[in-house]
Amino acid sequence: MYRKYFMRFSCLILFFFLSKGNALAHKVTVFAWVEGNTVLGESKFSGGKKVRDSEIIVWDLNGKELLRTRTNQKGEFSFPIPAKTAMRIELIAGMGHKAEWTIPLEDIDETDAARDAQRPLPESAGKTDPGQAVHPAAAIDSVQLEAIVEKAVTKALDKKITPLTRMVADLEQKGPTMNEIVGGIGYIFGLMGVAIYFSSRKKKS
Amino acid sequence: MHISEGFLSAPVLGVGIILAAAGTSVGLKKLKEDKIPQAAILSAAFFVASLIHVPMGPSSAHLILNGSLGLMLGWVAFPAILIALLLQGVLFQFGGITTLGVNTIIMATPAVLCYYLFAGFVHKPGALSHAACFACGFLSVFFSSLLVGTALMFTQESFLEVAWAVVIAHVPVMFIEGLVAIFCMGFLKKVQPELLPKWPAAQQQAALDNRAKMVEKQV
Repeated sequence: MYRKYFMRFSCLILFFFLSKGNALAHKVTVFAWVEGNTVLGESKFSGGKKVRDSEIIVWDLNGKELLRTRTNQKGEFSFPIPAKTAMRIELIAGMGHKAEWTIPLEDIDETDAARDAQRPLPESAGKTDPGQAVHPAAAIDSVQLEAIVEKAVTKALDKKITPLTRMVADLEQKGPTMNEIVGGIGYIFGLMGVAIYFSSRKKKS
Repeated sequence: MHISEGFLSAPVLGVGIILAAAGTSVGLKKLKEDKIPQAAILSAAFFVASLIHVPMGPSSAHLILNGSLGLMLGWVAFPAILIALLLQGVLFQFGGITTLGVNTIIMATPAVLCYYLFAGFVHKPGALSHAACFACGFLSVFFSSLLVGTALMFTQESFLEVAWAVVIAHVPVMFIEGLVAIFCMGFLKKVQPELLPKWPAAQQQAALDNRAKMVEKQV
């Protein structure tokens, strides 16, 4: 008799643990990075579901609104860098869900520098001083070479780093781990012990 | 159904904290020593239940279990839910510390309400008890949704719009909560009826005799 109910109960519990996988959730995260002169980002609910068609508001750090956009069906968004300031990207996912991500000024500065480097520098040849004019060809070459190398390196790095950035984004957005869950349950039972201790002391005195 | 940090205005947060503190103090007053382990176990169940997701709807939908918890604990649901939410906030970053008060109110008030509405029906025979359990699970989530709407009303769009959206998103959870409540209460009624509320002592003796008989039969 009991066994029947126990089986039913444990089946129920098992069912819930198995159905945990594809999830909708309660915590929402947003992650953004700079690539060239656009800002790319993605957003997820904890458990990995994408945040579709939700509002993204971009603020500067003084609280001035820079622009608004929406996430697409894959939970991604992108917009051109609106101004050369640090940005706070806020995601409003509705029903009390909100997340934000800050892009510091340095990120934007760096990519600006990279973009400058990508431009050819025609006047640089004229700038070479008389001392270097002894080897004019070498001087021009070194300046141009620097630009070319920098461009190539930026491109290659971008290619290599993009998957890493995505990985970091995924890490940012991972759900609660087993240790946290078990730890939380442990806390609750610890508190139970404390409560029982105090109530037993009260009874004695 | 956890409201994130930075959404609500300070007055709403303040009112939430004050009400939650009041509810918790009432709950702690009513917490008898022999009920402490039960409260802790249910608190742990509530803590874990939020990790169980129901794959439906456009937004967050996970088990809440506040109906079943309230039915068994009454006012003690307040401290139990407060602790579980605090740990969820600290460990999982669900909700947040400043919104703890509001979130506690959202979850615990329907729990207490369900206790007063349905506790009398649990020990009624068969269908009536099942119906009460289902309604308890169903309505607790429903009331929670309405409270979310109320909390968001002061900061966001109109009440009806938000509350409607939240209720719609939680309809599947309501049904599942109702079923879970039926199962849990049915199970407890068979195995440990003294855990359920409004359990008179006379019935306790009868149940013990019954159990003894059943054990003899099995042997």
